[in-house]
Amino acid sequence: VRGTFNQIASVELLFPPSFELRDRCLMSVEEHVLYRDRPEWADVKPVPQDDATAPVCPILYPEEFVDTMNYFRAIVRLDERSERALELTEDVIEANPANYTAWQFRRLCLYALGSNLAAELDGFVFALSRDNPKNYQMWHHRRACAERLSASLDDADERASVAERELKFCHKQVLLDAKNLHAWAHRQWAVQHFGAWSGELAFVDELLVDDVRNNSAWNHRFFVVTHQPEPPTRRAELDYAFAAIGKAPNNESPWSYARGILLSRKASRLAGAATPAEHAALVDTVDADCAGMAERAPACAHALVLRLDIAEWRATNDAANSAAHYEKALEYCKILGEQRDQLHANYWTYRQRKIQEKKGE
Amino acid sequence: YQRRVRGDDLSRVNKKAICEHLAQLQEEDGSFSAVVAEHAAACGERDIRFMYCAAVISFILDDWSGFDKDKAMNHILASLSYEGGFGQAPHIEAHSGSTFCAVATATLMDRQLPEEVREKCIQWCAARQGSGFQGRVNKIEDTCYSFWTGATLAMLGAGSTVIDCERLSGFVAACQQDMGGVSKWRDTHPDVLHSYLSLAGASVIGGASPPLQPVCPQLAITLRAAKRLNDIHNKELI
Repeated sequence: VRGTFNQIASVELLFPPSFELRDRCLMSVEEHVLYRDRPEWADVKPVPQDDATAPVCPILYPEEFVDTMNYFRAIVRLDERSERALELTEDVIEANPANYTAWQFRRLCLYALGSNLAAELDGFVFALSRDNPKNYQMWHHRRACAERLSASLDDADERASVAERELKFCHKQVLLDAKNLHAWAHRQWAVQHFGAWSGELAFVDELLVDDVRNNSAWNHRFFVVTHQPEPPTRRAELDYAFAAIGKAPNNESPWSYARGILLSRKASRLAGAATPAEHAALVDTVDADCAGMAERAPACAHALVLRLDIAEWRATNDAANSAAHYEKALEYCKILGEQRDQLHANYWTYRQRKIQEKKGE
Repeated sequence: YQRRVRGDDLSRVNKKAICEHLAQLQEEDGSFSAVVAEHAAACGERDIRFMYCAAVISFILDDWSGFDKDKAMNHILASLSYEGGFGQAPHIEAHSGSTFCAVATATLMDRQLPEEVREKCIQWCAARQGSGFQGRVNKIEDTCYSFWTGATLAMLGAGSTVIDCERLSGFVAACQQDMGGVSKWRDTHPDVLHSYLSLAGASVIGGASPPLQPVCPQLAITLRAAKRLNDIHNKELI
């Protein structure tokens, strides 16, 4: 399912009702039969919640919730990992999707029953995720089930389909909310766990076409290029960043990305600029590009910020000329604080002080 | 001598059991799970918030036997993003909440982050201000980050000097609602979390009018309450 910038991805389209949650409002008793009234549960003694003798601020739970939880507590105590227990966990989770005990016990039931974990991921979990896209337990459950499912498969193609399912799921969630941190974290895990690198840069491209300011997509790109089996060159990634900068010079994301690619030790795995001399030459080129950008876009602070970081980097790596580099750095701080980035003037004053301290040493 | 007990002194808490449990929750890489994993090959739900919780627990109990500080520091540094802030886990996008958890954990452990890390983090935090603070680059501003970011800056020794306090106060004031309380954005419903974090953030940053109780940034409680905890640790006598 492709999303484009102007198309609002509808929940209904992305989450068709292939699996019906017994979508009950807890106040309605039309369909739901209390567990205490079910003959097949007659052998289980419900366990009430232990609120001690004088609970402070007791919650007025609806009767159905109390009943469900009484039987859940009983089943957990019995450690009964059965079909009926599995069904019970559905009710508990629907009542409170953040009940991590219920999710964990559900997994124990699934494992004990040898349940079809693919069906679990496509069924119950998928349906629940529709209204709970940021539920930590749901995402963890997907990860646990996918890991276990994958570990049980000998066939590489079957394992690849497990990866595919998770990447597709992340894609749907990102179409609903392009910056859903859970979805991005899950995608990182899936890509790394299954070695599914090949589609990632294209995926990032697609999202940045939609919104070049999507910082989550930029972060994902940084993760991919610094980890994938065949890393690109620093130059290529800098070109990519500057192309985006050209579209929106005040967009902080590609500037931050460019600084990371150029100066961060995390990017040392990238190809090209391997020797200190080559690296320094690359830094020089970028500095010149920034100078050009700063001139073309006088309102752009980021170009000067990167020049500042480069100046300080040079002060350390070209120590013989550190005084000159620090002078440049101070000059940039002044321009930023007084002209280009008055909003953060206090920070630029602070930064100047820090540079003076270093210069003095 | 007499011991004056002002409220609970934690003497009834089973510290040994808690610390032993914490130790089970910490992984080799220093991170903490929320619950013990369901089997050997599994891992519990994990992110940096739980490391912070474990650090606060250890600090309150004044017992770090269940918390390996060296490993935790490794995890903190591994969670540093190229952006300068910290993510929920290694390689995750920098976020003010996780940045707070990382810096507060280091502070509670009484460990210094490397200077370069501190300075980049200060830069990242300061850059999160538009009028109020945003939690991530290019995201919307939200009053709760007044605390997550404000407290982080205070712990890093930069505090209010690197931000525009007036602009921040203006943003928070605009998010106050007629019914009382503070909401995350303008024109939406107030809630206890955003009300608390707006006030705590204002206190940590300073200059609030009327003046607020000073707040201990790493514990997110007042200094008054933090002193009480200190008294418990020292078993203060009168």
